[in-house]
Amino acid sequence: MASASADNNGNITFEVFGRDQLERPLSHIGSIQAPNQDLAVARARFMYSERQWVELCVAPSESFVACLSPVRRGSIGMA
Amino acid sequence: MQLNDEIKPLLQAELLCIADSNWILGHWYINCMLNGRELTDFTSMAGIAEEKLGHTRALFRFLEEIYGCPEFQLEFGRDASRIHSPEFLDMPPENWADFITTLFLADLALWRFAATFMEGTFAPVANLVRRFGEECYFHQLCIDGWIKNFSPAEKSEAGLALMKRLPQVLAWFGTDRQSSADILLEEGLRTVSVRSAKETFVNDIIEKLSPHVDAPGEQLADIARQPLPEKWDPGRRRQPGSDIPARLWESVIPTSEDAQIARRPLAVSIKDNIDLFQAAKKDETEPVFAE
Repeated sequence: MASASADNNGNITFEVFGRDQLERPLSHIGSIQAPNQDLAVARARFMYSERQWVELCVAPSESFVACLSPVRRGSIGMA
Repeated sequence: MQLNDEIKPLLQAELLCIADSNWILGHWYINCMLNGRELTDFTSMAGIAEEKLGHTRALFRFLEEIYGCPEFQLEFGRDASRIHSPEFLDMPPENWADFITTLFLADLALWRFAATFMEGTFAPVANLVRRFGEECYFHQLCIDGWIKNFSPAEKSEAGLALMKRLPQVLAWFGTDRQSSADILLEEGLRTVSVRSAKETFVNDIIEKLSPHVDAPGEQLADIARQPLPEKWDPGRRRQPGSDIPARLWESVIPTSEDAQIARRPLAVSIKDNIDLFQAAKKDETEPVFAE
C-alpha cells in the first residue's frame, strides 16, 4: 500500500476502533503502524487483545477528514 | 455418533497430524519471534504461537478423553519418533523470506487438511476445527501481510524457499490414491477428500503466493506433478521411522531439569507444591551496607 504519509519503513498509521458490547458505541482504542491493510488488521487483533471485542476495525489515519483541528477552524465563506 | 474400532485409530492418527503440526508450528513462531522486524511482529508472533499451542492442547485433551489415554500422555509421554509433524517443518528457516514462506505453506496446508473435517458428521471434531478456523484466519492474514511487504531480494529468497519446501508439503498430503478415498470420508467424518484439499492448496499457492515471490505459477504446477517419496507412513504423514530433529524436539520438550519444572502443566505443579518463594529467597550472603 503506497502512501505519501509512509515512514522510512514503509509503515503508515492506522487508527483502531473497538466495541466490546453490541449496544456500546465504537470507540477509538489506539493506533497501529503497518505497511499494508492485512498486517494492520492482524496486528490490531493481536495488540488489542485485552478484551473480547464484538467489533474491531482499523482505518488509515490519513482517511480522516478534519472538521476542526488546531490548525483548521471552520469559518463561513473562508473554506 | 459412536466411533467403531476401524475408524478410531485412523481418526486418532489424522487428529494427531493436526495437533502435532500445530505444536511444531507454534514452536517455530516461539523460536523465531525475536527475528521479527518490529515490536508489533513480536506481539503478533506471540499471539499466533499461543493460539497454535491452544489448538494443539485442545486436540490433545480431546484425544486423551475419547481414547482413554492418561492425562498429558500425548504432550509429555511421547518421544520424537512418535510425533506426527510434517517433514517440511524439520529444517529450520534460513532467512526471513524462508521463514515467512514456510509459515504460509504450513498454515495453509494444515488448514486445508483440518477443514476436511469441518462439515463432517462427528460434531466434536467439526466444532473444534471450525473454532480453529476463526483464529487461523488472522494467522493467515498476518502472513499475507508479511509476504506483501517482501523486498525484491526477499522475493527472490522466497522463490528459492518455495521450490525447496513445496515438494515436501505436497508429499505430506499423501499420494493421489491414498488421499482420494479413505474410511473417514466414506463414513462422513470428513466431507472433502484430502486429495481435493491438496488441489485447493495448490491453487491457493498459485493465486496468492506466486504474485509476491519469484516463482512462476507454471513452475509451481510442475512441482505439484512430481512423484512422491516411495516409502511413506500414512499414519504419521512422514517417511517411516523418521524422527523430528533432536534440536527442534529439545525446544518442544526440553530435557534440562529447570526447563522441565518451569513447563509442567499447572495442575501438576500445584500437586507438587514446590515452595517457589523459598527457592527465590534473598541471598543471605549479599553484602549489607551500614546505615
